Amino acid sequence: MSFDQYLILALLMMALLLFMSGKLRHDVVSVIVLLVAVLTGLVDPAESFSGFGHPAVVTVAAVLIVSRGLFNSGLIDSMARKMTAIGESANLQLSVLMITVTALSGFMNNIGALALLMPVAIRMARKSGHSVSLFLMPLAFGSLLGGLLTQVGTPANIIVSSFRAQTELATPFRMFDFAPVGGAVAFAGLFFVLAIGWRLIPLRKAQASREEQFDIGEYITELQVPEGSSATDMTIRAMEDAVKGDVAVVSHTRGDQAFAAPSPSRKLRQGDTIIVQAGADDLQGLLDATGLTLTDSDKIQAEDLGSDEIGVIEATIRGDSYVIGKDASRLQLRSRYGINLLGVSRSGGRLKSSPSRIRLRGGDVLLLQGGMESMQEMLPTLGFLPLAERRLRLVKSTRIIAAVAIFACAIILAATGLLPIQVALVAAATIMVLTGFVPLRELYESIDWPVIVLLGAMIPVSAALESTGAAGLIASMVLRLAVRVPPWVTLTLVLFTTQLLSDVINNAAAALLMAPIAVSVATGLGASLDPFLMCIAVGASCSFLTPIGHQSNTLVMGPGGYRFGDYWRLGLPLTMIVVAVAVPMIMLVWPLGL
Amino acid sequence: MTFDQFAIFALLLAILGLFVWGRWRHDVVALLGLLVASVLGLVSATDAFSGFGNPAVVTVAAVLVLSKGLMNSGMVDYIVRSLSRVGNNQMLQLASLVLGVTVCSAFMNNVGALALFMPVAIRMARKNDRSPSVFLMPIAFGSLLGGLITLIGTPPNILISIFRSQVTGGEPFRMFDFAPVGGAVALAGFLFVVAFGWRLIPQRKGRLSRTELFDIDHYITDVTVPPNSTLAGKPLKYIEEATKGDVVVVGHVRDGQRFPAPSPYRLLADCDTLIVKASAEELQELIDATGIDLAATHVISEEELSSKEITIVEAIVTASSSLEGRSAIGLGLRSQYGINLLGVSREGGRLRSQPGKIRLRAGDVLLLQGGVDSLQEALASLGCLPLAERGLRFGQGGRVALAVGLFATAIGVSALGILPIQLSFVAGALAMIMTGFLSLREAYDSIEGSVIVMLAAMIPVSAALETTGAAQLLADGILLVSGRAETWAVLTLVLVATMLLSNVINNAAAVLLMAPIALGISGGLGASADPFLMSAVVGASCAFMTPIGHQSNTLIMGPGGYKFGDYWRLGLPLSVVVTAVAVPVIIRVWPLFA
Repeated sequence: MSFDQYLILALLMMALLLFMSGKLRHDVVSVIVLLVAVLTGLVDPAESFSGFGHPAVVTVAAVLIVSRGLFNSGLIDSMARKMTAIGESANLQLSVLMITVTALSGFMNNIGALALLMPVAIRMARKSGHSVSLFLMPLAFGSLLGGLLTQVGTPANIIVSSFRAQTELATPFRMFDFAPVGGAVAFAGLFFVLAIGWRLIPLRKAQASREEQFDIGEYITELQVPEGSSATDMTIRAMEDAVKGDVAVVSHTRGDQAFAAPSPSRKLRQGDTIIVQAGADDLQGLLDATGLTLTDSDKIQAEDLGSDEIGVIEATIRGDSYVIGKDASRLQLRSRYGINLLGVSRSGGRLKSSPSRIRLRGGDVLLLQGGMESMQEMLPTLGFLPLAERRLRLVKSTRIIAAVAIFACAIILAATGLLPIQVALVAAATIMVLTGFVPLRELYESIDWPVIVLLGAMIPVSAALESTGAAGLIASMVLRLAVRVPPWVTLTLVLFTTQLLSDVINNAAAALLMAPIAVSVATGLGASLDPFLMCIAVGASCSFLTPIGHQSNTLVMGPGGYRFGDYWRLGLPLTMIVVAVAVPMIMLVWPLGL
Repeated sequence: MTFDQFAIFALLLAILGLFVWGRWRHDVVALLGLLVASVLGLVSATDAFSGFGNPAVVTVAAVLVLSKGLMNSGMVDYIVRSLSRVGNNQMLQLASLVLGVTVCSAFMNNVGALALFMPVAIRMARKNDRSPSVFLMPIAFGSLLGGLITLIGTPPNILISIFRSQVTGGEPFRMFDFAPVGGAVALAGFLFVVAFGWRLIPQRKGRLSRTELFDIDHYITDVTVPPNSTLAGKPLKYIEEATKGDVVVVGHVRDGQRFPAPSPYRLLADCDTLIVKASAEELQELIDATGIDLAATHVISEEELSSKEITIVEAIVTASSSLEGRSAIGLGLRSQYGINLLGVSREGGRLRSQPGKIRLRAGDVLLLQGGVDSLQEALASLGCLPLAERGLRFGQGGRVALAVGLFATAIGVSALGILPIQLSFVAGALAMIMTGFLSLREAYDSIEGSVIVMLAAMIPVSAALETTGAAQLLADGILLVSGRAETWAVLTLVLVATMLLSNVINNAAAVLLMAPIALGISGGLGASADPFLMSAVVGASCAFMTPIGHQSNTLIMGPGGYKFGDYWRLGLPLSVVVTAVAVPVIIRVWPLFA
């Protein structure tokens, strides 16, 4: 083992640990790894940032822009509208939801497809009285399975495809090269989940309504301004400041007029009723300081805190939101955005401490109060995904057809090999901008920059894994075993390892690390590279075991009320099915050539 | 002329035409150019997006992140604060402002440096009853001159440096290789502007205070609800929707208590007074439609429209703002951000039509009313630059020293040639993030996507100009025309041509187009390439003639009240001074025939 090989393996171990610890975000980790690789001479300084111009990275970015254009065209809205008319049967609803998400995510970004259908699923479940948890995990897994169908389905496929161009085969995979294997696996997965698998999902009850999920009554109290209270003629702001703790007035009633989320400069008058959000200690402090009195009202419902224009909505925190790890109070939701945080729910449970003291995590569900329109605007910038359905837009069908046509042209140009995929998709993205489907200000917002940086930085590191011979070294260890067993065992091993890796790190990163090793194994066996590369593509997308394996899994955690240990119950059998179907299909479609 | 040469000339002319036309943003134009080039085979498909991994592009992005970190550390605030102590002498104020901005922009992003100094300049001018127009154009030009001094001062320097290493095969320019020429030019420019040039700036009088600038009482009127009116009990929204026009209630007075920027859902009562913003015709329509009374007229001051929480600020629409080309109503400024647009000023004049319907342009100054905290947030997300000085941040001395230390280390490491510039700056940016000077979100936000994409897309096109031999062809043509002119005259020609080009298109694009031609000319003359590359780079930064030549020029247009034709009055003599100084210094520092 040469020094360089030793070095790159040590570096990759460090990278793996950092990825798994989750303390630093994956883009930061990958840049650190790249810099260390350059400083230790593993990567040529002149090549250090070549990954950012790599066709795979450009393709990933372009797919995101084109997805946004399709979304903006109203295509999804018209699909969602049709879906609401399918009746109340849980089985039927689940089938329609899962098939739709799978088909969509074959052509757009997986998380995007999931995020669009999740609110539809939640509303269906609540309306028909089913548990939300029954729908959401299948939906998330469907979005992963759909990614297997085409080259643009998920970044891992794009990576594997352009990796093929750098091997002796010299050409990338084409658009629908993934369809036979991916289609069979996705079909088997769907069939399994719909027929048997859904029974394995732990039914987290009591999340049927938000009153049960958020115990807002605990922190929301109705108070009255009695005669002689020092709060008379105080502004709401002054009253909130009267105690040191967190007190927020979420509603103000005078006579029979209620003002939800009142302006802080309103003044209180004798006889007014206010609804405040405060922990028990803060509430006592407030009563002492101002002489307000408790009313003997019944439990307050979330609906009491809304009005025509002020709404109370739930939103979940996306895995890439910048608020993760911050205290809710530090976000200054109220002063900066005019939004009140009424409650936080995690893993289906109520968090007992005052909402503003909670350190937020990805997948938490928040109950928010604020102006409906301004919340629509602000939630995406905070990285929150509203769980209420957006107002569906009615759009001219010619617009939808135009957007689909632009996308289809790009797919066909790439599929027939007339244009390389990165050129075809960037062209489609540019045309989407020129035709107004993607406004300029959304152009760069629609790109998931951390993933772009992750890929751009990891590509040279992955190349170093190969060029130092470290990949060959690992492969030779595998080969010592592999020469004694039938090739399908080796394939299964590669598939399984990739799956495990992508359960703990980003799936595109898993593909990047595994691809050079798989190619070395194939070469060592004297087999064709394609079946091994396909194994990587399938394995990287099938991370069903943990909520952190894929952003889709994280996204449904809070709204579905799942715990960490809930995923493997459906995920493990599904993983088995995937392996059982994928390996024979791969060997059939991509002969080993031994 | 081969087909490829013909094709690249035609393509470049088209790109140039689209840049100058300005209908589509520069990044979209550049991407289109790149796509056409790759379809025509001028750029190979595999290399088409290699620009995104180009060291120059990575460095530009890293410098933006580092600048932001330095800004956040409070470093610049120290400089700004010490500026406010220079006294009331106009000459002294001008000199210290221009000097400050020049030094800062040598190490940071030019527009960023200008944006920090602009509010200080405006405050100084208003305090001493001078027109800000005397100060603003000099500091904008100062920010351009400052960019000449170091490698990281402005993107063209970075581009030319990498160009030198990639095309001529030599070393890239080092950090301070630009200092002799750039420093001399900047010094000459500074002396000229401060000693003499400022007299050439048209004095745009009469816009000293914003009351005069916006003439708000022209649109703002008191109306009262008559006793026993049917209006009582209706929400304010009713008033706003009663006419087809753009009527906004900006204040609500009841029993002597003022509510600025009231919620549209407040209910009216008898004898309430409303402050409405409406034109004369709209007001008449409103009175006819609702039976509301005109109140006894008095001049409404800004103070009446603000309170402790509600404030009025001026802000400039920047070139990268999402407001550009849209109207306030179209953007939902009021419904989505809770901001009232009270007035728009363009080129120092008041725009008389309804502000909500004006299609906004970069450089417009807006008068906005809204909540203190939410206004700041909204302005940032809209890409508007508030003209009021931000609350100065004074980092602890240790923190400031750390930030400066990180920055200086990045500069030092690359200046000494220990690490290539792209690596040392990416490492510096990463260190800024890890030490908490900026969050990951701020880091991504500070990178201007449109600039990065434009550079990355133009780099392969510029390379194609070189590889097809088109640049040489053009250079030979120029040499043929210039005949037996002295070498210094040809050098001047390159400088002036680049200068003219960068007055109408982005300066980085100008340098990318001119660099291969300059190289061809130097080859044809048998001269050293360096002086010609330096000429191109000095020319690219000296876009003084129009407000569209550089973002810095655009930014000051509104606040200074300048017209398009005001720029050349100071800009033309300054360009002459720059040329007169630059050519001899370049020849001296970078000998023509090595």
